[in-house]
Order: sequence, then structure tokens, then C-alpha cells
Amino acid sequence: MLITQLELNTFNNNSRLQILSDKSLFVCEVKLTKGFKLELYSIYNYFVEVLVDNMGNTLDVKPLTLSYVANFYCRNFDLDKEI
Amino acid sequence: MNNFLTTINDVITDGKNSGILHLNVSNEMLEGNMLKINDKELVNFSSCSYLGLEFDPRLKAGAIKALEGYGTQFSASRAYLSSIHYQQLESKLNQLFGGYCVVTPTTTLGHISTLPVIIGEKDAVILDHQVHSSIQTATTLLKPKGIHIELLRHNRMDLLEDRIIQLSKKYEKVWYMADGIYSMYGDGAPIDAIYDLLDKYPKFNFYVDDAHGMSSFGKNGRGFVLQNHDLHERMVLTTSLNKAFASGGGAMIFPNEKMASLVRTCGGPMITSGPMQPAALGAALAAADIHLSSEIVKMQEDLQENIKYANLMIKKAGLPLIKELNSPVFFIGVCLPKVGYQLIKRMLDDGYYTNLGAFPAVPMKNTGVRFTITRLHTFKQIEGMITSMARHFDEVLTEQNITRDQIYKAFKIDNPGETNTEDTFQPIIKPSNLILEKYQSITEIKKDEWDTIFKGKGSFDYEGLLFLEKTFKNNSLIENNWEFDYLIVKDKSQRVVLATFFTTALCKDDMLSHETISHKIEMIRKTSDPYYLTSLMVMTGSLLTEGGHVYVNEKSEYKKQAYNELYWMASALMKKYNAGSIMLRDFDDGNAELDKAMLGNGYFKTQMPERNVHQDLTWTNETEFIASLTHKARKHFRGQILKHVNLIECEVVKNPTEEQVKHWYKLYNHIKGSSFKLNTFDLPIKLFENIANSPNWEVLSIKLKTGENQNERKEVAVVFNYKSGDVYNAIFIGVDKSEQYEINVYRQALYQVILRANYLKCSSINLGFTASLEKRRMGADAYKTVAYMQANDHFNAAVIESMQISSNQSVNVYEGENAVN
Repeated sequence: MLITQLELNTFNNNSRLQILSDKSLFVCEVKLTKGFKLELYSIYNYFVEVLVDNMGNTLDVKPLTLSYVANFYCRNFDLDKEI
Repeated sequence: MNNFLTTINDVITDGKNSGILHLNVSNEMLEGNMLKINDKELVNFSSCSYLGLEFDPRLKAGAIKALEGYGTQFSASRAYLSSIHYQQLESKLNQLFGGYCVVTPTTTLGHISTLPVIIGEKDAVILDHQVHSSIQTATTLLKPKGIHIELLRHNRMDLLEDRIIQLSKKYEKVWYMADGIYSMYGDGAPIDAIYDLLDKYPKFNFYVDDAHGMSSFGKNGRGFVLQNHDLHERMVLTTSLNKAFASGGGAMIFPNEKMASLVRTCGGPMITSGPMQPAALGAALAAADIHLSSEIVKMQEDLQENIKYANLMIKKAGLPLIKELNSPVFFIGVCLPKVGYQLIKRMLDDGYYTNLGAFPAVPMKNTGVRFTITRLHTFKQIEGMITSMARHFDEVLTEQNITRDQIYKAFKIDNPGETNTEDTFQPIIKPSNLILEKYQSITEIKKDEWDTIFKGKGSFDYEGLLFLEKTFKNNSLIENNWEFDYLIVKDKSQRVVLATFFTTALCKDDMLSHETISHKIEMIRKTSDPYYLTSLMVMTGSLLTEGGHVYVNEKSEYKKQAYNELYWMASALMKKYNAGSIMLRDFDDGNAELDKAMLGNGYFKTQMPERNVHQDLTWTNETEFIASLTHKARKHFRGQILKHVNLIECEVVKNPTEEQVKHWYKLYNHIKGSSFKLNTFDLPIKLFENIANSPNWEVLSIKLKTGENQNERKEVAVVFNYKSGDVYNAIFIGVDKSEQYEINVYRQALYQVILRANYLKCSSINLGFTASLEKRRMGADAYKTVAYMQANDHFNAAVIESMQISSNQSVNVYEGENAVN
């Protein structure tokens, strides 16, 4: 069953991870310094970002706005042209 | 077995036969929340171990350590010796709860140990209607002491306050007994409101069982009740250690050492019963350590996340959740047992084990699928189970001809999708092969049509019903005003498949209760409230008729569908008139197929008094009549009746005077007032006046020959009869009880009825209920008769059930002969 962004916000990180593992598609990851990384997942019509440390521990799981994804993950994405 | 036990047995057996109750797990080893039943892997949604601590290695190690230290048991009464674990555990629990704890082998034994000790003879007890049965059982120990016990409608704080005020005037302490979280619907007691009452009323005391709230809520898992409060000085908290605490036993927490000590020294099972096993105590010690650590917070949070997810899924699936709360117990309403059986069975096939919430834990019409959520469930499992339920839900409802609206109404909750209230009066899936005719007066039905079905069946042929409609309308007393409704179900060829009539009338809820109970209730009705424990009842037939009120064409292929229409109509009338119960009555006992169908539709069977019918009226004289009796009955007849028959005179009364009608009413009241076998309201005098003027009724007057002048003869009995076709119906009787007569007037009256029916060349006589022995002696046959009942809620029934006569009370009840009806 569909979990909206608003509903996802009501759960803690562990629960969000459970929902991700059941319902999301892995999109991409961005390597950060010191072995940390950001993973981007899509659930139906919104994106979720997961912050992972160098030991593989999940530090944060948060739903994202579309503009954030466009700005951060698609730096060369031209909204006027593409949409 | 009494009616109550029979019904429980029927419900459980039906569930067992449907493959959803009395199941056995076949695993030697369990892994998490998976189990095997009949070799099928299932996710368990029935565990009360909400934190999943039973698999925690520390609890297992604690159990093993205690087991190795003390063996499998330490068999000594705690009055003599307790193992070291008890003292350690009670000390930890004192710290956990902030009170004084006594650990008991089970919570039930804890109640049995505690209640007789802490509740004094000058105290009063108020039980919440839904309080756990273990508390209700323990309070039966208080009854022989004459302690006042009463029931309160579930969670009704307004009523509770009123009762506290009233009872405080008479009693030293007023105890309210409730659950923290209720085990069926998972709803909680209104704790804040109860604490307000504790602060407001110094005589008010609170006894609460928080078994389902333990561990999952509050600081250190001290439960639902104490999550926002400390233990009150006038409160006893009891809880279970074998649910989320995952070990065993019960814990009673007292506000002071004195009370705890008293229970420890005087509580019956504390002296005479064995202790908990060392392994369970060892596990409990480990569980207590976890509860006292910060780790419990994370566990509680994990559980709450699962509960939140389950609530979200249920909402998305649109299932009728009865109470949306943060408790781990969920209840999805399905209304009728047959729906519950089907739904649970299909979910079992999909790999999910849930519970049936059925009678007696909930009223028949409030059946549901009960499931629990634990910390061990994954979101995937929760979603899978709820998706499975949602997938089958509407399919099963359609198959069983039930609507969602019916479910919401049965549970008295708003239907989020409600659009048209008229739907409640008609099934959504109308049987295309049937034609329904509904009427509100017999005058709307063709006389020939009705009489073709019902003439000669009883006093409810066309004229009989016309008479009843005229008599039981426009009266001053509410109980003498009845509503009439008629149902005729036909097939497309206009053949009648089912026909019946309903009356809706105010009835005494103890109508079919034991006479001693009715006697007790009547005392209350006489002294304070004449309408105490009364409610509107929809019934097939009426309070003044007997016999086959429901005609069914047994050969019709639409019989089953027609019965569904009967259930629908009864439910619709219950709603229309705001009635409390339905009684489909006067069915012959022993019809297993009908029993099963009724049970599936939420009706429980109850025994009625035997129906007596005299069917041998072929004799032409007294000698032949005597010959038709059994050997024993002949002796009785000669010695008790024939011997005195010349002392009485019987006549069919024509044109009685007003005074004579008043005298009949007096005679009727003599016998009505002395019997509670079938406890009904007194009939109105208007009925007697109308009978006097009706060509269809016959009044047999029995006079005692006291002198030569006939005018001086005393009228000592009167029988009111209705002839329908060639069937004579003795409806009711009046007998002079003001003085003792040499002869038994009742028996003479009975004989005169038989003689009259024979004279009229009738084929049989319906002699009504009760006094079967007397009637059998006159050649009648007694038929075991049953009714099928359904109630909106069981509160009044529970009040009546609780009115057991205690050993120090005596009730004098007239046990002699009874009215014809």
C-alpha cells in the first residue's frame, strides 16, 4: 500500500528503512568525504535520502522535496527544458 | 448444561468445526513469530508477548540459572518457604511500580488472594461490564458475605460518579474494578478521569488489572495505567507477568506495606496453593532487569512503530477498526460469527493466524477478527496480513449477505462511507428469486391468504391478530402498546416460502430467567423502579400467542434465502423501534441445521418452557377419555379430579356484566402474581373487556357449588380460550387463590377445557407453557421449545446473571401450579 511522504515523516529512522526496503527503488548514491555516502531512493512519487556512515550504519532517512533532488542530485538538470 | 454454557459450547464447537479454534501448533522449535498449524507456516498475530521478550537470551539464561539452582520446582507453600527468587523479584517490582508488590502464580490466583482480603463486608463493589472475567470470577467469592456488587456500563464515568455518590452514603468504601487495556477491543480505561474521581471522593477506591498494558507502556514498562500517574494511595494495581513480561505469574501492587502483608498472610491461594516454578521466576528476574534499564524505552518505541504502521494500513485498507488506539490489541468488526469464521479461515490459507473475537467475550452481533501486534512483526508481515484481510473482507461480506453499514451500526460507530440510511432496511444483494411483502397491520393482508397459512395453528389467525392489534394499541401504559409487523416471502410463482408476524413490546429482561432471580428483580421493581431491567423486544409472535409463528415451506429451494429475509427484517425492526433484543421463538428443539444457521447469524439458542398440546380428542365419553390416559394418569385423574367433578359447574359465558369482567381480572391477577416462571408484565383489563365482547373468544367459567341457588355459586376459576379452525387454544387462566378450597380448582379448570374442546369436536388443544406435569396427567404431550435470541448488548443479561442468590439469603417463591400460559 502507498505510503505518502507525510505518512513517512511520522515514523522513526528504523521504520523508514523498513518501508524503504519494502517499497522503494534505489536511484543513485553520492560519495561524501571520510567514507560517508548519501543514497537516493524513490517511493512512488517522491524521493528519500539515506545518510550512511563509513561503517555502513544509517544515520538519517528523510523524504526530499523535488526541487532539492533537482538541485542536488541533478546539478545540470534544466527544469525549463526538461519538464 | 444451562443456556449460557450451551451457547458457549455451540459457538466454540462451530469455530472448531470451521477449523479456526482449538488448533495445535506443530513446531518443536519456534522461530520468532512464525508457527506451524497443520504443517502450514503462519505468521502469528495472536501473541500477547508484545515486546517479544520470550526469545531474549537473558530471559532464557535467567530461567536456566534458576532451574539449575532449584530444579524444576520448589514445592512449598509460600506461607512456609519462598525461594530466593521471590524476594528478589518482589523487590525489583517494588522499584518498578513504586508500590508494594506480591507475586502470585497467576493473575487470576492473585485476584482470588486479594479481593476477599481487602474488601470488607461494609464495602460496595462496582464492576465495569467488560472487566476481565478473572476479576468477575474472584468477586463471586464476595457474594456469600453479602457484599454489594453491581455492574456499570463500560467506561461510563458519568454513571460511575453518580454511583460513587449514592453508594458512599451507605458503604465505607466504594471499589471500582476495571481493566487498564481491555483484552478484546484494546480500548483503555479513562485513567485521568478515574484519578480525578479518586481525588474527589475519599471513599472511592480503584482496583485495576493492567495485564495488557504491562511492559508496553510507561516508565520502566509499568503499564498503561501508570504511564502518566503514580500509584494512588487508594488503588490496587494488578498485572500479568506472562504477557509482555514474558515469564509467568501475576503481580499485585498495593499502595502500602500493610495491605500487601495482609494479602501475603491471609490470601487463600497464598497459603494453600503452590508457588511459581523456579524457571519462570528466573526469567521474570531477567525481564525485571530489562524493564529497569533504559533498553525498555527502545523496545516500547519499536512496538509503537509497529502499532502505528498497523493503524495506518487498516485505515488505508478501509477496514472497520472498532477503536483506533495505540494499544497492541486490534479488533476488526465483522458483525456475525459466520463472517468471522470465513474471514479467519481465508487468512489462514494466506498464511496469517488471527483470533476470532466472539461470544461470550463480546456480544453475538459484535463478532470480529481480533489480532495483536508485537515488536517481532515486520512491516511486511503487518501489511501482508492486513492486505489479506482487506482482500477477503468484502468478498466474505457479499457471500454472507452482510453490509459494511450493518457492521458499523452493530458496533455503534460512524460509517465513514455511509450514504443512505434506507440501505439498512434492505439487503444490498436482493435475492432476485423472492418477492418480499411487508405490512404493518393484518388489515393490509388478504384474510384468505393469511388464514390459509395460519388458521388452526394458534390464536394468530386473521381475526386473532385483528383482536390483538385492537387491544394492544392506544393504552396508557407503555408495556401495553405493541407494534405489529408482518412479513410474507414469496417465490416468483407467488408461492409463499416464509410468513410470520412480529410484535415489538416492552418486556422484562428476566422473562426466561429462573424464578428466584425474577422474584428478586420484582422486589426492586415494586419498591423503586417498575421498569428496572426492561427493554423493547422484537419477537416473532406475541406475548399472548404460542406455536408455529414462523411458517416455512420446507420444500422450497429458497428456504435459506427466505430465512435471510427474516433475519434482515428482525434487524431492521430492532433499529426502527430502537429495541434492545430480538427473539425468534417457539421453534421445536433439536433442529441442528437451524441451530447452526441461527448461530452463524448471531442468534443464540435459549430453552423456553415446554409447550403442551393435547392431541387425542377422539373419545366420545368419560370412560374412553380415561382409557386414553396412561395407567398412572388414570389413577391421578380418578383420585384428584373425577372424585370432585360433581362439586363444580362449568359454563361458557355469554354477555358478562362489567362486574364479572372485573372479577375475572382479579382471578387472573391471583395466579399471575404468584408465578414468575414466564415473567411478563400484567395484561391490561382492556384485554378482558375486549374478550368479553369478542365472538372469537370463549370464556369458561368454573363455579363451585356452595348452595342450591345457582346465583350464589362462587366463580373460582376462569379460562380464556380462542378457537382457530379445529384447534382450541387455552390462552390464559385466572384462579381464586384468596382461600383454600377442598378441590384443586386449577385441575378442574384444565379438565373442563378438555371437555369443551372435545364437545366442539376440535382436533387438538394448545395448552400453553408451564405446568407441564399437570397437563401431561390430562393426556397432553409436552414439546421442548426453543427461542433464538440476539441482543444489542449483554449488559442487562450480565446484571441478571450476576444476581445469583447468595447462601445467606432466602427467597420464597411460589412453586405450585401455574397459569395455562
